[in-house]
Amino acid sequence: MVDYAVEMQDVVKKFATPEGGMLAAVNHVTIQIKDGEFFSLLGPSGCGKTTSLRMIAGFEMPTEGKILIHGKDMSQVPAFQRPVNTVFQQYALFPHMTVEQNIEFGLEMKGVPRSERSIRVSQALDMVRLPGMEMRRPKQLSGGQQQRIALARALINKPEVLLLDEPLGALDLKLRKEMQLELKTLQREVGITFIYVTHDQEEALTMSDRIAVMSKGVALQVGKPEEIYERPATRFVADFIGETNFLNGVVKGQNGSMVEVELDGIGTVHVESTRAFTNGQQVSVAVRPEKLRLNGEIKGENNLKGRVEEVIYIGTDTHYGVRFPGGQKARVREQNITQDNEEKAQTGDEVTVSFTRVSPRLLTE
Amino acid sequence: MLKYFRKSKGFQLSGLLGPGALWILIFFNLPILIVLFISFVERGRAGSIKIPPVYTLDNYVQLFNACTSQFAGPECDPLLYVGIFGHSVRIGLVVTFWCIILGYPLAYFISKQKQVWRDALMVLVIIPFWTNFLVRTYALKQVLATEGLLNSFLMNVGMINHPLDLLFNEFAVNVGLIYGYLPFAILPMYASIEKFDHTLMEAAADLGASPARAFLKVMLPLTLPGVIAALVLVFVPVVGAFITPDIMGGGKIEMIGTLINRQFGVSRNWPFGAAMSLILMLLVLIGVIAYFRSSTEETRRGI
Amino acid sequence: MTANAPAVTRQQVRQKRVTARIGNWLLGTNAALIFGFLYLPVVILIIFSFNNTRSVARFTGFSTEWYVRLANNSELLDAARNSLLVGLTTTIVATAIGTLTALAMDRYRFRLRTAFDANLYLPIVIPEIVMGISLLLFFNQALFPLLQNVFGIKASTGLHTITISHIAFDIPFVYVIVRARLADFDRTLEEAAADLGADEWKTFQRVTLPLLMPGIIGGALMAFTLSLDDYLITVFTKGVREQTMPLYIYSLVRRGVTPEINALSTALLIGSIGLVGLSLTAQNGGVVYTRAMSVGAGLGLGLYGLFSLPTLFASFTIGGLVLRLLLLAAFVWMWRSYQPYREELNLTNPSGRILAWITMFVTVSVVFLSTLLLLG
Repeated sequence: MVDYAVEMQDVVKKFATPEGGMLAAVNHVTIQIKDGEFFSLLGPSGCGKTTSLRMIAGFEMPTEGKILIHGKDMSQVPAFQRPVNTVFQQYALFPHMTVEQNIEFGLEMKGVPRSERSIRVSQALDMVRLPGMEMRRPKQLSGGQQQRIALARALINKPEVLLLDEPLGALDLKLRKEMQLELKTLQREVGITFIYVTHDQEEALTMSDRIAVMSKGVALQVGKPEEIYERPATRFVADFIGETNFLNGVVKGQNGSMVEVELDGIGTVHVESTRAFTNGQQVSVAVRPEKLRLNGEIKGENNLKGRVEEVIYIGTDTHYGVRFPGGQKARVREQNITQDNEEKAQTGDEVTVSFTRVSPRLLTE
Repeated sequence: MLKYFRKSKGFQLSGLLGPGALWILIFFNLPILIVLFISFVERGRAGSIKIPPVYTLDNYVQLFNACTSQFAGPECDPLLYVGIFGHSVRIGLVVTFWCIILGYPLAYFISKQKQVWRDALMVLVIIPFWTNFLVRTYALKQVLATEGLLNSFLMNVGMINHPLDLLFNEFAVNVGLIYGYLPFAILPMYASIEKFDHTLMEAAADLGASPARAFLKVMLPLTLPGVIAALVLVFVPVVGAFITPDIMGGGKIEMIGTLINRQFGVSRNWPFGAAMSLILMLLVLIGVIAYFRSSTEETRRGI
Repeated sequence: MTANAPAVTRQQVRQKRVTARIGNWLLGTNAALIFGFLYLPVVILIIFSFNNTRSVARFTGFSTEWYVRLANNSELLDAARNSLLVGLTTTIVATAIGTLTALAMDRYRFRLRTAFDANLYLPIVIPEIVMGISLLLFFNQALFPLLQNVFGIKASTGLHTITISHIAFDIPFVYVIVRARLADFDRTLEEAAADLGADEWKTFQRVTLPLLMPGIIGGALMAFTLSLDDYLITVFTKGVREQTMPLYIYSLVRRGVTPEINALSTALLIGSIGLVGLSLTAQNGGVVYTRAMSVGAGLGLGLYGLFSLPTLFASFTIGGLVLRLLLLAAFVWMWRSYQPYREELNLTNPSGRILAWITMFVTVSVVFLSTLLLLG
């Protein structure tokens, strides 16, 4: 039985609301995070991802359930005794100390002698590519630099797990993209398990080995980025990650893995699914815009007739908003491979929207 | 030992809160309770209380009917003390009025300056607020005295022939109180005005409101918390003031504060003084509660 | 939208501008008048303290005669000494208690918390005279009889009762100031410290306390000022013989108006303003100002030690020697705070640096003069 780096076992965290009731910020969440992986907790604000992180760090204690770190039950252990370190959203650098004093703080608490500390501090600064900054004060540094100092301060202690709470939120776009790459590379070099909290799905998809998508205190799906994207388990996940079209309808019949769905107002489509459905069950056919083709009929697959409502040109792609009879809509995304404008559909045109049987997911929730 | 300290929140809390709570309870709350107690006790020979204590409502009765006092002469006015209370309240209202009328425009003026000037001007307002009240009152006295600067100046310029009696009357007390408490009014009003979003006035003008109407309907309601705070911060201490009426009034102007002081000095009637103090405290508490009520409502309205 | 005639005529625009100008001018004049009203009497007071005649109306010439008289007035010096003694004791106790209380109220939730909070604000709101007489009654009618009857101790009012009373009304002020500072305090810094392995005590020592220090010092200075300036509560809790500065001034003021009072008032005013300035700077400024004060305090004490060495050589006592050594140790303290002070200075902008040096200078003066008054 392999020890997971971090395990949340049926964890519940309840808070008292101002009105007097109790709110479950984390509601029976079970997650296993493997050693050495870059794991992200992804979801909108209020979903419980930050609370989960804080419980792993030790700033909150679970109301129910257990938190295990490398097999040891740390649920009631206070933060300062846990072998984990955190990079905070606002960096939380001590303003009254120099960069060096900030970074060596953890070592000082452990009793590491001064000579060794200064060596390790300059190593840490080299690792985050800010050599020579020892005597500066946090307020003299830019956001990106502060963030790297916060990183150094955490990593120098060689924690078993590194927790990162939306560390790139305050940076501008270009810097954020740079830092994403740096963090990923750093994690590979150092080999420590990273648990990363973010609400930015693109960030999570780019950086993570695995992602847990959370909403309203529940972990909806845990898996590799590709799994989450291509095979979302619920409507929420499908909608939160990237863009998805939801075409609603009713199951007409199922033959093995092939399901026949009558879409409201549109017609019949056939979708492959590993799940079992009953006739008459309400489903959503969830299909991504890039999986749809405009005016490119695929023999034997799903081809629907609709009318173009809007055309949006975005340089690399063109998005088409298509309206089907009966009122349902879909967005189609086509790459602008050619510059040939005559071939392109215009507003008001009648078009065919096509997709294969394996591209969509059938979702019931 | 440290482990137990960490585990038990009660232990931590009592350690931190204990000294403060004890000190305030013993040397503030308890004395106030004693005042309450003594106000219901009969006066002893030397002015303090009879031992063993004899309970009575006489002290309070005396407040409303001065003639029940054992020292009352044939020409006593039963409403003597009521009159003094009323007088103090009147002075309180007058002083508060002037402080607000003068202070609000000043606070507004400061809030319109650039940041650097604003801080500097506020420091100038704060310094009188915290420095020695006695010295400031004396400073005013020496200007208004018959041999003081104002009179000499006016005589030299030829506007008057004899020095004006600017001291030892109600005018002096009022001026002294305004002088002393003006900063108390400016500070909270400034705090409120500073938070006020001036673009709201532009919006009002854009919608057709004249400056006067914009002020009345937009600025005043939104800065009202500050004004109310100023009202309470001035009225309450002024009603109970002692130093200013004593120095500026020279003993001729009687207010609640001077009256109470007298009971513990010349008049030697501690229980009566206690009763007066209690009534004064009730007035204060009413004012404070009214203030809290109004301020929490404002915050509840979510401004 | 039709646009036949302009919505506002040019005349109306000009009128608006004129009224706006008049309005601004009125505001400005009002402000000037009020500031004049507030400061003119004080300025006149200071000017006439240097008058070479007894008048407070005509300035005939410059003289420091009145200040010299003050310096030779032993009754006054005694009163000053008492004020300082009471003030120092009050400040130390009230600051400690006030800070602990602020920490407790900020960090813990418990039943009756709001009641406690309100009770702590009460001494600030209650009229001073009520507080004064309540303490008079407490000491005379309750505490002393109790001590007499139960323990057989004959107690009386004196500097100790004054100090106890001052502490009582100072605690809420320190509490309010430190509490305000705690409200702004970034809790994630404490979480970061815990995350890095610091337990509660270490976190308090290395993170919370240093960052809270400016607020604590600001509160302490405020407590000191309030204690020095207090008249009403002091007069009701004092003994028969002792005087403090405000009491002494009061007795003079009741008698009349003389330049001697002006001189005394000026001295007290300068002291008050200095202390208030220091307190505000500590509360609102950064660490550089508290470091400046640290350096200044050390320097002030050390200078006094140097200054008083000749008297040591004149009449040698063991106590005197110990005292002088302690005071010279202050120089060491000053030297040790100088390094961090310089570091902080380098991080501040030029105007901040000027203010820091002023702060240091003011602190040196305050500490030196206070020690001089206190120890003679």
